[in-house]
Amino acid sequence: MMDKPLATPPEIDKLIHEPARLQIMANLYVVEEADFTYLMRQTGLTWGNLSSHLSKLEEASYIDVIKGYKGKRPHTMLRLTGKGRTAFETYRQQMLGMLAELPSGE
Amino acid sequence: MNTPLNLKELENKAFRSFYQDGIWDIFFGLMLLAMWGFTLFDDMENKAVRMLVMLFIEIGAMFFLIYGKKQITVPRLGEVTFGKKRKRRLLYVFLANSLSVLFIAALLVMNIADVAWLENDTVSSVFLGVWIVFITSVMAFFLDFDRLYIYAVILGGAFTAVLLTGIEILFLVGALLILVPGVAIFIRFLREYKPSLVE
Repeated sequence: MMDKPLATPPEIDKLIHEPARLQIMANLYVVEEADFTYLMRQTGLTWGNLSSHLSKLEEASYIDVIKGYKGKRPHTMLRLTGKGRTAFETYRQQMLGMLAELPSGE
Repeated sequence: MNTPLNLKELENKAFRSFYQDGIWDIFFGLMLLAMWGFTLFDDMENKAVRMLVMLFIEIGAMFFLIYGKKQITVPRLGEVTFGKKRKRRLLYVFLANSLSVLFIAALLVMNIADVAWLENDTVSSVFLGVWIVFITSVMAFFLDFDRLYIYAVILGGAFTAVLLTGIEILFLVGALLILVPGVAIFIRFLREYKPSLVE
């Protein structure tokens, strides 16, 4: 007897699916807001890499970039927007669903 | 499972990463050192002055904790606002701390008033130690700070041991047991993480 065929995978959000951006989104999802340094430490990305990925996420309106000052120095905080939060939740559900559907290999 | 999908683990790891600075360790060590400082002035007639000396060291420890987190840890690890669950847990820590301060203040007042059971009773010594272990463990639980369980035992044990034996240097021994690893962790942290130059 044939095994049940795997369901067609849902359309995955490719913007989030990229490993570095997935790290950024996940790290921002579990907090209210964080700055650049925090994200660099948590993701292990370099300043340039992080900056470039953040720009793409900002263009998609997944993150808010809040520019301000800390004393006299400029300071940028980042947070997920409602759209970004929903997109991440959808992506996570899709991935968890897909992983659950994979055969165990036994 | 891949870390980005295991959000609880990811959040825990991020939150706990702020304990690698050793600042909380030094804070608790200084709190115990303050007790030893208090005993140094044992022969002083005016107990209120002894209390002031102890409070001075404790306020210094508090200042180190707040200033250290703001000026040493944040520039190195970054600034983050954790979610509502963490804020609620920090509120419980604040409440436990306040309760603990009130309790210690009440004990000091009773000590000044020469309440007999407090000076001699073995049960009161053990009770104080157990209370300290309990309240510090509550803090460890809500702070997700595993080393603090060990410090809870050292803190409570030092109090009970000093009260039972009268060997006041045990406060210093306890303080060093916390301070030495705390300072080592602090130095390692300073070496490993340089202040970020990123805005």
